[in-house]
Amino acid sequence: MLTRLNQRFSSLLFSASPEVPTGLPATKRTMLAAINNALDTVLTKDQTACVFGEDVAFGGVFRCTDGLRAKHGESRVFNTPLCEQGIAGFAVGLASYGVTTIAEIQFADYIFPAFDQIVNEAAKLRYRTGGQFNCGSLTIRAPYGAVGHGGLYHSQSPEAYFAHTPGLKIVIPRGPVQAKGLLLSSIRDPNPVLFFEPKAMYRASSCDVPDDDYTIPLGKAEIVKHGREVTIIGFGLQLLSLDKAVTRVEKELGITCEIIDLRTIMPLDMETIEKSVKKTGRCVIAHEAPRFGGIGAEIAAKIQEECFLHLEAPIGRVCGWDTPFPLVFEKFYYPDENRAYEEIKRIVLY
Amino acid sequence: MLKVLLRSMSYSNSLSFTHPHALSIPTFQVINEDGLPNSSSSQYLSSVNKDLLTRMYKTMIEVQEFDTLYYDLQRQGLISFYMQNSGEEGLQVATAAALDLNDWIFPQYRELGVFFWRGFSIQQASHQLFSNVKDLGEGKQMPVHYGSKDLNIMTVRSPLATQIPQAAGLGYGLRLKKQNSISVCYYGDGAASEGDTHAALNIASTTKSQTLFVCRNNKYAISTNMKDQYGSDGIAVRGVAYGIHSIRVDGNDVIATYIATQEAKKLILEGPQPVLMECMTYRRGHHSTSDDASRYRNKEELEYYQKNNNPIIRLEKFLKHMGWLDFDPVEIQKETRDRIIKAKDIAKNEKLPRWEVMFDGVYNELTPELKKQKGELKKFLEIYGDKYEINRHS
Repeated sequence: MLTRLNQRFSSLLFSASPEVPTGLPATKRTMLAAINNALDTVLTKDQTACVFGEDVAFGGVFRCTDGLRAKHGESRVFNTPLCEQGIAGFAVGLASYGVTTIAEIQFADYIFPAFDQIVNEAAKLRYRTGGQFNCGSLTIRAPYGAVGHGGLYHSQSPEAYFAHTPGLKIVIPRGPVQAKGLLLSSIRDPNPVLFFEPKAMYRASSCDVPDDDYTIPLGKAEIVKHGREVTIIGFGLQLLSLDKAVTRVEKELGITCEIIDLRTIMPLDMETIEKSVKKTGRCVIAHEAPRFGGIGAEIAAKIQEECFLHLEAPIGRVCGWDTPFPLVFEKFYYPDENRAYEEIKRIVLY
Repeated sequence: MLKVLLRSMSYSNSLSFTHPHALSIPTFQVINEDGLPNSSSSQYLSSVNKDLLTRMYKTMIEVQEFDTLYYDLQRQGLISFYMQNSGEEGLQVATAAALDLNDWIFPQYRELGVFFWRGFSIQQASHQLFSNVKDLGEGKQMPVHYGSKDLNIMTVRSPLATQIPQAAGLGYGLRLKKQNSISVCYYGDGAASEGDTHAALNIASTTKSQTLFVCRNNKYAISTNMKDQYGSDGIAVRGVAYGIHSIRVDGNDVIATYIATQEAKKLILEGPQPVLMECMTYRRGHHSTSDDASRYRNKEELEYYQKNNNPIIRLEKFLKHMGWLDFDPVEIQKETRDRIIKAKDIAKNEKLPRWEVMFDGVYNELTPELKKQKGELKKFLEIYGDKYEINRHS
């Protein structure tokens, strides 16, 4: 995985987004530096905002919170005990008081002790209280995804478990520019947001990230490449494999592909997806998470509901196999550019 | 900090295991089961007066009569579900009386006296039970899941103990914003076993949240008695294990509970630091209307708590002893019941909330998908609305 990243950096991962104003003063930043910058921005502008989690104080195991405690103080940037359910519960309570609350779960693989607090509490607080209370100022960040050697418990993509819960928003950036803009939007969105960061991207490379405060809207997918013959949908690090697969398939089959970065998993931007599939008539969805019950299944169901008469082929999916995420077998497990190429070709030639 | 480290780092040259009951926390009590002050109680009695205790008494009667009526109404099928407070009215009003409206409350579900004390009306509670259009919760949750933003009472929820780490978080927010108020969570001896309780005490301790943890040890979690719930010396000792000031109190002694809560709040704000208070009490009623406690409890135990260790009776005896009983308890009971019945009639006749409200509050505003789904249901109800009693909804 990391080798693939080092060999060739995808222009898609390091591209800007149309919502980001051009010509702004910018600095070369990796994804983790962009995230750090976003957190710094929030802590500077909102004097009671808090960032906390395990090992957050010294900068975090991935350095995302580096320097924040020294700059903003120990009452606002602090360590919690090693207890995800405590982190999440504490965060829900603090957010329900109106404090801008940014909690970190060290790995998405360890988010499950917090599942009850996220799914039964955070997601439902506004709803069940008749709007009297809410924890809209809550954001939970967690590194997710394959990293090359993570195995079962340092590689998971848990977005599907949470997408099945009404009341949550789920946001996943593909690159440094999106990480900053989407994280700022997530923090400011008046609903609890889960922000999953593709950890393989943290230090992958850097690109210009505007220094100013800017946001990328939630609930809006981005067409990162326009095309005519097939719609390819992905998010996060998958944009790298898809970029490579698409380059090959366009050359070999003489077609053009439209690539959509979802950016927000929940709520989905079906308008952009439907418009694209009605144009192309074909679709392939990619994600690292296991095939069964993954986000691809929901998107495929919705596409065939809304675009049935426009479809020229079944909707393809490139996903992890329905196994836990293995270590030595990662290369066989991971939906990479070759698997994506084969699936796109299959759907285009159907 | 260094002192604590050094103390815990002291060495011993003789091998011994610390006995689990090495720390045994006594139960603080001011008036005994006959409502009479103990010999050393006089120093505490100046904290209370006739008006305060009379208000406590009357609020307890409101809880008692509300419980009695609605338990029966559930049995008659008028409401779907109910949970009584019998036996715990004392700790509810006594703790509430020591707090003010700037303090935040995170109830479990057996704290009606806290709601009433703080101004949650009998009428408002009735609306919630009938899930009608006036329910502040928009009819979203089961009966007894009250909540009030105006009174800083976080809405009751069904999952146990989830409110406890939330109270720790909000207590931290109070500390962050330098407020002279505390967050208070209530939970039972059963909920005290949940992981969230451990998580909350630990994080409150390290972050020094302005949080009061009130455990209502009412001796039962549905049918599970204390002996199957924990091996420790109750819940109070656990606070000490997390580095938290802890106290055990006779929860059926309103004066002891009131004073302990006052002192706990002072201690919290002085720190700032959290405090744990275990109130010893007894759940005289069933767990809920879905339970029949006679299947697992004996009559003798129930009778003892009905007659000999009943917070309402103990307070009444104390008021008599002090010459402060200038009302007729029977009159108060009757008058209270009449008020509750009137409120019930009003609540019962209100419409149910508009069906559209089902889609409100998932997010701060409807997403495109929710708008679409709402549209689908609207079409469906245009055809089938009558089969779903749409006219009962406003």
